[in-house]
Amino acid sequence: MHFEELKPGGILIYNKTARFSLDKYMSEIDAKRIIVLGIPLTKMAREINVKRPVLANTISIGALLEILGLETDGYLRVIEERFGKESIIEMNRQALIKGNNFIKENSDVRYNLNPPTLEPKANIVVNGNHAIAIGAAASGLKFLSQYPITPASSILSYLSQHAEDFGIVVRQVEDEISAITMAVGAGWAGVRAMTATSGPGISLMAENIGLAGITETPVVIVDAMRGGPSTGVPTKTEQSDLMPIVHVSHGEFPRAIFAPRDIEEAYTLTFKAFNIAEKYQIPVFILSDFTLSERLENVEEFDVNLKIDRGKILDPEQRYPDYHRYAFTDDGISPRLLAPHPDGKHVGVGAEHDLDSNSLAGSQAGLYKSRWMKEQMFNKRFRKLKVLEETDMDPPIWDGEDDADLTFICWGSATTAVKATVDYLNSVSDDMKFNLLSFSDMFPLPVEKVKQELAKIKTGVIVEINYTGQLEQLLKLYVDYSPNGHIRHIDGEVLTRTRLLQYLKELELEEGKIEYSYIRRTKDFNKKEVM
Amino acid sequence: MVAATELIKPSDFKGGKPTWCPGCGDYGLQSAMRKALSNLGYSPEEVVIVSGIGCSGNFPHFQSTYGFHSTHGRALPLATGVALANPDVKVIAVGGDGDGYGIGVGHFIHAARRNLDITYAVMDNQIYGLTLGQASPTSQMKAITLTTPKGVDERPINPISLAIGAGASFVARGFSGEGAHLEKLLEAAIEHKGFSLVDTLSPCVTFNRLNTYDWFRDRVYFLEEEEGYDKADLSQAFVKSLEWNEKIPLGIIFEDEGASLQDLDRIISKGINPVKQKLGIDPAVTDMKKIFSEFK
Repeated sequence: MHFEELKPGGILIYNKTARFSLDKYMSEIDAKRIIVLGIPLTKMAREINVKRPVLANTISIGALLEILGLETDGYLRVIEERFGKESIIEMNRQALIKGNNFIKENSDVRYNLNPPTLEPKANIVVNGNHAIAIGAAASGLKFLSQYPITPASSILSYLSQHAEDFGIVVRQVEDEISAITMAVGAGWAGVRAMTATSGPGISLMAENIGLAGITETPVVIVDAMRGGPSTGVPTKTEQSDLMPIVHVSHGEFPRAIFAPRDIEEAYTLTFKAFNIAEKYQIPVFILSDFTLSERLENVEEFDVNLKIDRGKILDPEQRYPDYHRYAFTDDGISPRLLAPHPDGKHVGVGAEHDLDSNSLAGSQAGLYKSRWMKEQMFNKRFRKLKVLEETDMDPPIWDGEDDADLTFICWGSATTAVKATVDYLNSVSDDMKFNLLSFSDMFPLPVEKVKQELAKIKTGVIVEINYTGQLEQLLKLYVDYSPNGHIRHIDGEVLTRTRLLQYLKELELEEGKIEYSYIRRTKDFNKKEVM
Repeated sequence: MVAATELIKPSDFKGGKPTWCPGCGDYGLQSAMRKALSNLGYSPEEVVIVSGIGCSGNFPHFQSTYGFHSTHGRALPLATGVALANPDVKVIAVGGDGDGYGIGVGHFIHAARRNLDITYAVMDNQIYGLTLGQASPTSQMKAITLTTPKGVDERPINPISLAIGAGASFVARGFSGEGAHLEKLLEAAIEHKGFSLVDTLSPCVTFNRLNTYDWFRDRVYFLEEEEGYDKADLSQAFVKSLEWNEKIPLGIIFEDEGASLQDLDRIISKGINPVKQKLGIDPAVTDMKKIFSEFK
């Protein structure tokens, strides 16, 4: 299945049975100088217990440990921890030793790995969804409504299991339309509310994301992106919902989009997302993806005492005889007065409305005062976006060498692979320097700050995990930037340093000089294919 | 609720001037709703009336309560979010037959089985009125409408049996032409602990020339006056729910006193009001050491 991915000189370990033959692969095995090692895994498993061929797995691990020159002690401890029953533990122990001995007796192939030198830390091992869930809880989430979908489901299941620990009302609901609408209702009532989904769910939620927009209701929406469109490839990764979410729902309204670059940021940006949602009374998106949501990483315990900013909420003990829900203000943000309060009464409405949320649809439509009010309401809502852009949206950050010859530009979870690639290139290059500029605060782009950073780039290459270049579109649209080239990874697999270097396959170190003419220039987009 | 209930008058619930056609059945529900709320001693700021889209969608604008005029078919999820976020407010959802039994029917079924303590009053006029007279999910077979020039050729939804089948714990039918009866039904629905449906026959005088006030008056009767009818008996309720055409029962068709979602939800059942909780991690509630230890 994965034969084609074997590197020249690699080692092929297979389950040697009477029925299976490698004949049809032999010419390629010879050509790639692959070392072949057949282990009768099933037969050996049956020797331990006739009814448990599954022990072949542990036997193969025992064999691998020997090939890699690693001690068996650690793995034996894991077996003891993972399996409860003593008889099962014993069988697995035997299997591990059996596999280990097989290599000792039958093969001299060894690839010795250096044992770890760092002391294990008291860190936590979490995935991106855990980080988002705990970030939401720590920032004051009180209501989650969600429909299961890969790869966002574990946000729902984790918070369902910890609803009482955090004091969160968690509801699994009938569909994503209900999920977003309930969250809008809860946000309107005054709690921090969230829903989480993937691309198909975003498509279903679209209409009521607009409801949050026009009613200026804070709500946080997680989109754990996956291969699209439609069902796409649910268990594979893509960064293909950025532009869809910049425009999601009909009509125009302010929104914010954050794309965490790693697990720690999945936590901190979720915290920030709730602050922004309440401060500006807008829908806020967290763009995760399969890679980030499902990847386990060893990180330090999260700081649960980050600053909570609820924005303008009026004191319920006071009276406000002149209260207007959508009062015009300099920053466009109208204070909220939560129900029940005698002065706060209004009807939230998906229709355009006046200061008191009276509908301007129906019989009011087209009247002179309605036209004026409609225009003023757009101005008010979009004033918030401007203030948000200038106040709270962070610029992209640099990593790697200063004043680099080549800069990779990336966003969200692709940053991890790009950073590894930049570090590698800098370590093997004598006189060329590489760096990266990565974005997490996607929308609204802090235009002036982004322009300043982009101006420092000598040669820029945008790396992203989609087909049409969505960050590239965004930068063109809002800051009029065009890169010198781009890499667009669309095969669904996690982007890795190895894969990225493959994209740069014409990159050669010739007398310390790096050729990067391999990178397709934007103008040659249709002529040359890198892959 | 305020202590001196007699101070709240139905007229205290009066909001914006209605834009419904003169004679519209929706006035009947409005009037009965205001009376029911004042009879029960609610003050306007304690009540949130949530609607979807359609002639019925404008209902909250005409009342002085809090309200939310949401999107087409989504009144129930929006109402659910409000009710779970703040159990101290009284949430009433209103809608029409197109809104609730057409585009929003999935939510209707799930709200029924969720059994959240909210009341859903549907102004059922068997037509799409706001869009000028297309067939609706409850339009009768053969009814001539803008979209069925030769008569409706799809069977109508029966909201009563659908609600009972979906697990609703309070299912009633009222009639705009019987205001006093409707008022009592609404009171019972609002008092009921759990999901309560009041399907209200609400004639559209402009676009539905078949199901008129007179058409209903010739057929309706009060279930309370029927000897031996047991509204707690599910099988009797199912049989009763199928009555239409010749005789149309009004009243509480089914009622079950089981636990509501508020009684069962792991947070709300503890008496916690989410909107009144402090934000951030409260060490008295959340043991972060335990939370993090699961990841070690």
